[in-house]
Amino acid sequence: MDRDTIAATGFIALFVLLFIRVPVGLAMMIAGGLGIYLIRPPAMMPVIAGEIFGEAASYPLTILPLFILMGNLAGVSGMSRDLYDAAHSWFGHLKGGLASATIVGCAGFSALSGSSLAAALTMGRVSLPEMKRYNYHDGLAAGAVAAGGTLGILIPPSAGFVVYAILTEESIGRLFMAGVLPGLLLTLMFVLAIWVVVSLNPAKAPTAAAKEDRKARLKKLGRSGWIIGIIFITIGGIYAGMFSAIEAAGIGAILAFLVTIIRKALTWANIKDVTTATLKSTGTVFLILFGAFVFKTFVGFTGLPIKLTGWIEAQGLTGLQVVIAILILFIILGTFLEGFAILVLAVPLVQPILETLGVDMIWFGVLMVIVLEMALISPPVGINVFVVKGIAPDIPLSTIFRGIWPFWFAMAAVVALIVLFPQIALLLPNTMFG
Amino acid sequence: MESPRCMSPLHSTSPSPGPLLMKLIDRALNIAAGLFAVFGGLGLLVLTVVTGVSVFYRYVLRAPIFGIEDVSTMALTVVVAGAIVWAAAQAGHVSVNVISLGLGRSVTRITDVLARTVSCAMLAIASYALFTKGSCGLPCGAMTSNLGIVHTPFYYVLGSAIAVYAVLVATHLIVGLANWNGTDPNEVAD
Repeated sequence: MDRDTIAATGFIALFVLLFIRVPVGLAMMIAGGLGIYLIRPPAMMPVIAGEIFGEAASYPLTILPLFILMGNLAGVSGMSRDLYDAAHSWFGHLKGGLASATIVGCAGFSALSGSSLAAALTMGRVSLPEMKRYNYHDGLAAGAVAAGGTLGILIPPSAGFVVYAILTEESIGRLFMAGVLPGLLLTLMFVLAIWVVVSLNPAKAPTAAAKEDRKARLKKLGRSGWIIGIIFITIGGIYAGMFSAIEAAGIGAILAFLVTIIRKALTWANIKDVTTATLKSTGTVFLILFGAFVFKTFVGFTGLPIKLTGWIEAQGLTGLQVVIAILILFIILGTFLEGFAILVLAVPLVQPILETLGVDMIWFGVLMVIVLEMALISPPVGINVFVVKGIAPDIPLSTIFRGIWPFWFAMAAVVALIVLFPQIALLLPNTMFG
Repeated sequence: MESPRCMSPLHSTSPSPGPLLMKLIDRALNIAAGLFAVFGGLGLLVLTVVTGVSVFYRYVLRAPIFGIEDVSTMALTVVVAGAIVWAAAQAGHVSVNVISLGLGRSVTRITDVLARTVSCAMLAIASYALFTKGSCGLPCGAMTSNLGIVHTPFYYVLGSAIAVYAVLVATHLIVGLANWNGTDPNEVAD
């Protein structure tokens, strides 16, 4: 078999394995491992062992468990609840205010946790009952939680950016900074989407919470000072160049731990919950990384990226045209593939092409992460939708998916804006790193 | 992205072959997962403290600790080993579940056997590869760059974690076969 045939066979095998529900990481490891065996038999075992150990002992990847730990501690210490309460207090009385408060709460929690699932789950638990109490339409309420949760992988710290940085060998700190303005812009667009939906059909948010007086609002804002302070120190510390993203993760985890102690939430049950939840999320990401790196090595062995790059160059396409084509392809893939799977599968293939065409990989990383966010809420396998369904089993899936469309279009609009104005993503990293 | 329904690999009261043996394996797997979680948790603690201490020495005392990154990376391997096993025991490793949207149990019970067989085989190979490569140790230059911590035990920890995961998948395979005409308690949820 020549290498082109092996490459094609490898990709087909991968999709078959994914289709029959082999875990994503293992599917990539199997397809990649067999592919390597077909090309260079003696290399298979050392590559598998080397890639697994290489990722498990990678210093930049220490950031993942630390940020996951920080997010989990924020949950058990009540900091995430405080954040929602503050957002509720400030926005709850406005048109569609409770849904907007959910989005703002998700955005804030995302700045402490790199996981979209954690953001949707944590904020969904507190905000969905509240929106139900005020007779919000199920679709709007569930859509706001599912979409708000996606901010978790855009607003730093972001597991998506860490994985992308490892795969492309870009700076994690630069990517984190690149996610800040798009994250805020997307938050704003989500709030705008809610306002449009409620303006067109006021019955979707028929009642609002009573307006609280300034003193009460300031008090609630003050209570959320812990979480705001930690966000300020970690993200601000990276931006100011005081410490690296990895060090920020450690500092953030320690601060969250201290707040948990101060709030007397450090019970044995909470320690157990936080530890096991952190291990579970860490294990999920690392298995995917193991498989991704074995598969990446296989793809490199086939020489496919070089051939694809040559072919694209021969077509005379510009970098922008290729980026748009890739993003459209990812949006389509996102309807049936999990976001992280797309990331780890596609990056090794598209990176050489994009670099040859002079595309800024930080800019592309931001666009890619937003597109992956779209995958998180796209039917039929949008994972955030299933998270919401888990919290609110009485809301039909079809209602949740219908409620998601305004947010999906808001994401598409942000992608378009960042394509047109790359500075939205590049301003902060360029200001900071030059 | 979906996960199987149950936490314990064999905690169902399914009519599995050799119930006593399966119960023993189930118990052994639960103990192993618990132990890995404990070590993973300790690794997490070490990682957090080491990172904090490193920042404190670097920025407050202006005296960076030599080779502290080596300690972090080796602690990470223990965290990852614990995390891989714990995520497996808690059905946390993600699969893409589109097959159940169009096809019923009559098909998925066959594809599940295939999926679990290849997964188990791959995990066994990966575990073997880690033990083999790790056993070379110092003569192969497998040590950290600053403190010279030999990688061998950490390769073994990872190899053991993946071996436990392989056994877990094997038990899912057996339970699935035992429940061929019924409901598979470990099937990926809709």
